Amino acid sequence: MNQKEVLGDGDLIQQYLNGNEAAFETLMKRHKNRVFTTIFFMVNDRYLAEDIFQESFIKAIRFIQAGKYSHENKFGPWMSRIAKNKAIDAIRSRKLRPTVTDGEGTSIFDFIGYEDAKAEKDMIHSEKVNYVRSFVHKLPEKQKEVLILRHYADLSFKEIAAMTGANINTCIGRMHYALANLKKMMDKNIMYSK
Amino acid sequence: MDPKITKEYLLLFIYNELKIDEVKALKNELMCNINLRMQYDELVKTVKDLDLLWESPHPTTLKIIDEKAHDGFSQMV
Repeated sequence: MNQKEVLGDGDLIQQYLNGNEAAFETLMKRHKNRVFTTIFFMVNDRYLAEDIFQESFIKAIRFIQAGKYSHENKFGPWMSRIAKNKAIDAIRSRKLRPTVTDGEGTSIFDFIGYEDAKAEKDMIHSEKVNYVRSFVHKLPEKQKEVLILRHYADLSFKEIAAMTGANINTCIGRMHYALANLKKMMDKNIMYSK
Repeated sequence: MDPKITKEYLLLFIYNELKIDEVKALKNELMCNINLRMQYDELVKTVKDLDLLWESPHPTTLKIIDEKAHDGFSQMV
């Protein structure tokens, strides 16, 4: 196993600051999916998500290079907060709706994933992914927000409470309702249960 | 059963937000309480389904960021 793979995020940042440029690549690879999925769920547009993802990491790089980063914040959640704020800015400036679902509940996300060769090979798996995605997008906004921030952005319920201004128990409750609603939708869906 | 053990409490367990002693106590409870175990299994299954939705950015995006990281570093030193 590559030594960098087992180093903590703080160690990788320190190595990067000490001149080991490969350390940042390792750090980025470690967190890319978590950060990208968070953005993707918020803006519902793959191309926009790519831009925001790029801007978020570049902002993080500048911050780290300026010596302003403190590892007490934990890199993953810190990176997710940057990404979330960038996504919110994009939603505001472009007046995007946070979710895009048509009258029949079909999400634009149903058409994403075509690049995933593995999913193409397995139609049932692909269908399941599409259904889960569409179910998530049908959740009430506040439930979806907590679900995305906890499951994908890796923020703790305490951090989510601080970020959203809601009580921590309210956030946990919303997460629970989100999962309960997902389960209900899954149980009702014949295709999903295949 | 401890009244604080609710479905919401199970979520804190699933997402690793309980203290060590709370984790130990809950594990014991899950071992001997079938109803709680079923609730837990249902939650875990739904949470695991969310893992199907992880997305990865395009390799070109990663390359651009990596180049920016190197550029910035070169400027810094």
